[in-house]
Amino acid sequence: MKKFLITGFVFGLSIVLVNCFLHYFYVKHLMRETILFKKEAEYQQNKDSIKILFLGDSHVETGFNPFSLKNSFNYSSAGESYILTYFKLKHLLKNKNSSLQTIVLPLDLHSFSPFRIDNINNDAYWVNLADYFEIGGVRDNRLFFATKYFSGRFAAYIGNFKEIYLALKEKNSPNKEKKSVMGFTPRQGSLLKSNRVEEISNRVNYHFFDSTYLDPTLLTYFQKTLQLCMKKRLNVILIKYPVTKEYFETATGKIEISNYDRKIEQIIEPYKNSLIIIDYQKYYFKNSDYFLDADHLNEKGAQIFSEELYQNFKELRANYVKSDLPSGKRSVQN
Amino acid sequence: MLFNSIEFIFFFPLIVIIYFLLPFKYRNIFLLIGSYYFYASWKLEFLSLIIFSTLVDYFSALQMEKCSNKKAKKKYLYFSLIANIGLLFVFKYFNFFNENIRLLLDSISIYNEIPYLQLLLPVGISFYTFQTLSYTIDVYNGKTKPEKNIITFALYVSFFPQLVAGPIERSHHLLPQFRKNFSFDPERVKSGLKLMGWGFFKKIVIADNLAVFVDMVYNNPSDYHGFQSIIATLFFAFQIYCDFSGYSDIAIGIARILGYDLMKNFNMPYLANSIKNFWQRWHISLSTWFKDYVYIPLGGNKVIKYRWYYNLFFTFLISGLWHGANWTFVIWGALHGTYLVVENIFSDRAKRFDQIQWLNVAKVFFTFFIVCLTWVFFRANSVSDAFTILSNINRFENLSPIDLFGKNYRVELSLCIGLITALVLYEMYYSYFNKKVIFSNYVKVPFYIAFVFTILIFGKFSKQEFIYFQF
Repeated sequence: MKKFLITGFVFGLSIVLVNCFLHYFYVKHLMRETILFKKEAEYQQNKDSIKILFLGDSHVETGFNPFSLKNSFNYSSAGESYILTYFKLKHLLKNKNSSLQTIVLPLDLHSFSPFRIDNINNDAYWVNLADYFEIGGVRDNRLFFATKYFSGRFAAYIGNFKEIYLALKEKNSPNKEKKSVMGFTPRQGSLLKSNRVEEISNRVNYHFFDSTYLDPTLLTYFQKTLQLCMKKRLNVILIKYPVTKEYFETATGKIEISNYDRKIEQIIEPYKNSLIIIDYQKYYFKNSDYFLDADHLNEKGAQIFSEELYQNFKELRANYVKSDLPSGKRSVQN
Repeated sequence: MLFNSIEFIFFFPLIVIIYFLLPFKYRNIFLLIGSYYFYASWKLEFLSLIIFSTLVDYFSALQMEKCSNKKAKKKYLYFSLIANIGLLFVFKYFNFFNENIRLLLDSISIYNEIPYLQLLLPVGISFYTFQTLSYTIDVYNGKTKPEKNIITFALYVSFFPQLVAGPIERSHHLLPQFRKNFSFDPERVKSGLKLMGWGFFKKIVIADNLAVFVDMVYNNPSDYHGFQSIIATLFFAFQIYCDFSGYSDIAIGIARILGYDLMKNFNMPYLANSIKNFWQRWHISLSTWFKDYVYIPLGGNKVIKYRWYYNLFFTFLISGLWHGANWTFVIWGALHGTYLVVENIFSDRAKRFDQIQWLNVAKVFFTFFIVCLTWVFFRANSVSDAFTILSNINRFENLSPIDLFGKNYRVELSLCIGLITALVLYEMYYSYFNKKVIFSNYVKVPFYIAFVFTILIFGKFSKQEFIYFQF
């Protein structure tokens, strides 16, 4: 028994030590090669000059090229829900010397769908920004989020073999291409014609897998994000990003668009004089070659869309003094 | 509570520590409370069903002992059968039969007004009802004496390692073990932990990674073509094997740590050289249950030839239905029944080829192939989906093998192929040499540490239930 306990103790201690090493190596060396951490480093390098910040998910990540808009940064990430956007912004605004003036947020059809609400990937990154215990309380799933918090803090490598492989591959690659510029992550490719209908249908089913498309938790955090921006006297622009015609028609067939609009109106009502909504959803219905898939722009589409955005922003800016909040809500339909 | 969950990481060590600290006379009641807690963690209301089943069979067996003849015993046997099968029927099969009767009556313009039941399927009901039925049938047949201690009997029914997905234990094997006093045995604990580790590896690393591709194809079969459907079916063959045998290994490992021996449930089934041999290696506890309590009572092979074939076919048909209330499972069972009948028809003629070595190898591949065909029905969400998968085999597109599921899945696909290859090679080595790989002590500890981290790094830790929980 004594020998068993000693063996067990030594084995357990070895596990703990190897775990610490693996966690340290994963977070400090491997995760540096990932887009999330590279973007973070890029933001930190340029934060004093950034006035316009784009936040959101992959629609933003692949759709907006900050090259077109001076002093802007694309700080979005794939799979980022409004819960994570809120915590990210809250973290950024802790810096009292922040130069941010305008926050651009997404207002897409799937923005409040719960399909990814509990899927926080890259805990090693988010554990420094998000309050997992708060999220666990709100989602009534404390044990799950507590587990994610502790694994993000002490054993972030768990279940991440693919990330480890890709990071090692990137680290050892002789030709390290810069994958993101001011946060923009362009994607090559276009929607295949052969299985277009199936692909778009699968995408819509993925986004709206059940009848809930206005999850209360996501709406709450959207509201908290707006409140945070208002408190810090930041301009807010809400953008509905371009999607393919088939995606839009299939998605609006699944959700009650009038109910969606009504709910969003209710939430933004207190702030209507302080924010702008720009709807680009139908903008490229005739240009399917601008799309990587059902609802993401490819590099060509992103370039053209970014130019368009720049022109619209120029017009908006011309209507008011630089440091003032925009007066009057504008909904620009294109 | 799943074995691969955070709650279990706290539950299991606590159970083991308290179990060995307690005096022997309190251990069974403690394990019973722990088992009920384990079961109630799914849904508290389910507890009432397992307690009902326990009480029915406990009292039926005691009454049977008091009866002087079999005729008198029979009414208690029927009572137990009706109660347990009735429970199973209401929760698992009522809606299925109601729906099919409705369709039949609709076809002759008769309206069926019987409403559907809105009931959740209690986890493990198919397993524990069969376990308790085997007890009452054995008491009826005089093969076992009824258990007088209700705590011991209740523990036999609800013993948590094997409660929700087997192995389905026989009373003469498990019940006597609850009367023995086991002391803490470091060798048993090490052996149990190793088996649990192997089980977790099969479930979390192999089965759950394969599930990604299987779900992709089987949830949208019309979106995929031949190669993808074949790969998904092949992957499913190993997913279900690793998932189910992984669960069994964990269950057996847990029981071993506590001092109990559970029966082996899998014996490298894909190395079988015939369907008969496959069923001697796959879900052994269920196949022997059906043999002893359905096939043999029907007459087995001690009847005329056509009755024998009927017995085989019917037993497998019922076995298919046991797996689920869906025509896909019935077809799966019917296919296995058909295979066995055909195999028996040609068995005499095939015996002369037994000495040809390469033919034995070909038989292993052929058996695997025809078993995979049945897995299409087992996994498909509906019969039409199963036929879509099968018809996809005619549709091939020019895709590079590594990009079969898109560039984003290259790494996972490579991992899955590597894992299956390693598993097959390991089982072939074990089968051929009939011994495990032995390491020196200096290699063992680093190997076990590396094994733990292989599970942690390559495993999938999203909440994936074990496949057989749905039965």
